[in-house]
Amino acid sequence: MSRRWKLWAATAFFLIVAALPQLVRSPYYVHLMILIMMNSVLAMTFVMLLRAGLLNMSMAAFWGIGAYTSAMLTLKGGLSFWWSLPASVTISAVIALVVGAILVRNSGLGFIIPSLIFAFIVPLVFGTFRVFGGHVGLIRVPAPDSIPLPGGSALMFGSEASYYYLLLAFAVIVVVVLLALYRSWVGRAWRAMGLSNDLAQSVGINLFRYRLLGFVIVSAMAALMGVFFAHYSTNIQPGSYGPFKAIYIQMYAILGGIGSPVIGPIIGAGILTVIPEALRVVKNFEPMVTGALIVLILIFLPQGITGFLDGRSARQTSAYLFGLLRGHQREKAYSLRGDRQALEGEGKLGESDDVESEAG
Amino acid sequence: MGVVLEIRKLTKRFGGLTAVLDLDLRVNESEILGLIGPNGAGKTTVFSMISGFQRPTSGQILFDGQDLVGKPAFAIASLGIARLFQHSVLFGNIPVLENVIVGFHRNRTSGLLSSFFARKKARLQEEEFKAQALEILEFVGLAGLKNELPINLPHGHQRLLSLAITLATKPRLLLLDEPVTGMNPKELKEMVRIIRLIRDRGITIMLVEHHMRVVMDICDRVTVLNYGVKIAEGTPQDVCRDPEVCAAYLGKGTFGVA
Repeated sequence: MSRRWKLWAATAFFLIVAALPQLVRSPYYVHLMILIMMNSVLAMTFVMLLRAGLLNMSMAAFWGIGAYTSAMLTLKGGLSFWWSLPASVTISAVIALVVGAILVRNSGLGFIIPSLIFAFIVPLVFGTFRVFGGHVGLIRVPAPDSIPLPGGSALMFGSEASYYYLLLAFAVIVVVVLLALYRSWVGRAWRAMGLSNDLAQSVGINLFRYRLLGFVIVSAMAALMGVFFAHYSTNIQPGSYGPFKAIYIQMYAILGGIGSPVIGPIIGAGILTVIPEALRVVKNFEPMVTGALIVLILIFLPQGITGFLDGRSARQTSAYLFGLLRGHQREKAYSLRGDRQALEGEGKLGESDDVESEAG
Repeated sequence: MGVVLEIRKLTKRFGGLTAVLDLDLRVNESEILGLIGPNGAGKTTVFSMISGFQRPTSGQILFDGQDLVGKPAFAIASLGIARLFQHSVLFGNIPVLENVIVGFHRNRTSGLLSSFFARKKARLQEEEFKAQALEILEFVGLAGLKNELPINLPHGHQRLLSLAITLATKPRLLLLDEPVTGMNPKELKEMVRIIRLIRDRGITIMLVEHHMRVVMDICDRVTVLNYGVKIAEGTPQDVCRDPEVCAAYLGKGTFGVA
């Protein structure tokens, strides 16, 4: 797709997403869409770090840190949501900076396992200390203060739809930042690191610095989602932010396909948020059925859903291109060298040459 | 002629095994220095230590008088030492042209924020790098394949692309680890021609290679390692006639050569 097409498609998609709460009046479905959007954003940030070569299991932990920080600041600190929001994201980013400085020294399992351990520790900390409300968590997290509008009225937060638009604003910010990062030098360095650590280092990329930068950015984004979720759901329990959530975030990303950094997570999160909800009828068997479905999908679509869709069109194009372009382009490549070699056939290479003539 | 790289008393031990022992080496500006020796002589280990992937047990590596020991690989790359790996290491899933552009990492001047907001300066630099990357691809003869994925390229082209990436870092010293190994005669000739051209542009080259004809043909000087110890040094012709070198390569007295 050309750039212009992408822009049109993105605009159309945004308008549809923005119009949804007006079309779907049921608060339950709006609630579901809020969950999908939040999970998509979490999965997008997960994909970003995965592309830089880090499989980050601590996303859910930072989601929780954001939620708890903001809940504490508003409940115990008496701050308004709009002050607590930047404060919580900043505090989470600082925590990510410290934790990340320890975690990102390694990639591969040396990173995955410690980040998973961190994902285990954080909910334990929240559940153990009385300050954080123990296992019951924190209740009655206040809603964001209403925003006064120029006309004298105010934008109130209470209905599902109002939260939907708040989240949409956050999500747009995250997506714009992510896309800008992908396009920048940092994005290029991340992609290089994700493909080969050795080569990335040998062109002068400071692995530690770029990994840490990525870790802090995705953690801050997860914290942003956490802040939103705390004030949206009004009560938070440590259990919601445990390693299970981390695994779910990973599944959203992989099911959607990590090849596309924005669409894939949206599709993955959409499916994996709706399936468990739809399976409420089977009650306790829900995780089993969800699990089985995921296994099936991954067996038949190992590249994820977007990868599958892409792969098809890619194969069709390549069948055409390979025949048509490859041969031509090879020829061209040789002739661009501008030396005799291009003119000689493959068979007539025995002519004297400083290297070959000394053979024997 | 200035000395680009000076190695003093370089030693590397892996447990009880001594891979490199008390190596002294000088690389002069704009020369091609061959580093040869039988398998396991420690050639690649020397490269790994120069480029910062392995830390020497003892000794000094001076690049422009600056000690490289203890510096991380990325920092050494940033100083202008590029390494062509023994096995083609490439960014397999991004197009050839993008591979080369990544190589410009250390040469960017636009800051993070400028790049982030795609400011004019960053965009101009992007264009500039693209043009330079194409130039490099043309130089190594891969310009026609700029949109291919490296995983689809044959071995010879992958090697050339690796070389193109190292050139994009604009190195002062280029470490080539077996650049022509596994190439067919045609690819080999092309590679040799390109290595010469690179040297003519004033880039100093250290070459590890088993292909003796290539070594004899393009190296100004040759250093021979055997079991991590330097056993000979000099012009290719001198080294060739050195009895110790023959012994190391062929064994002692087996052939009754005078």
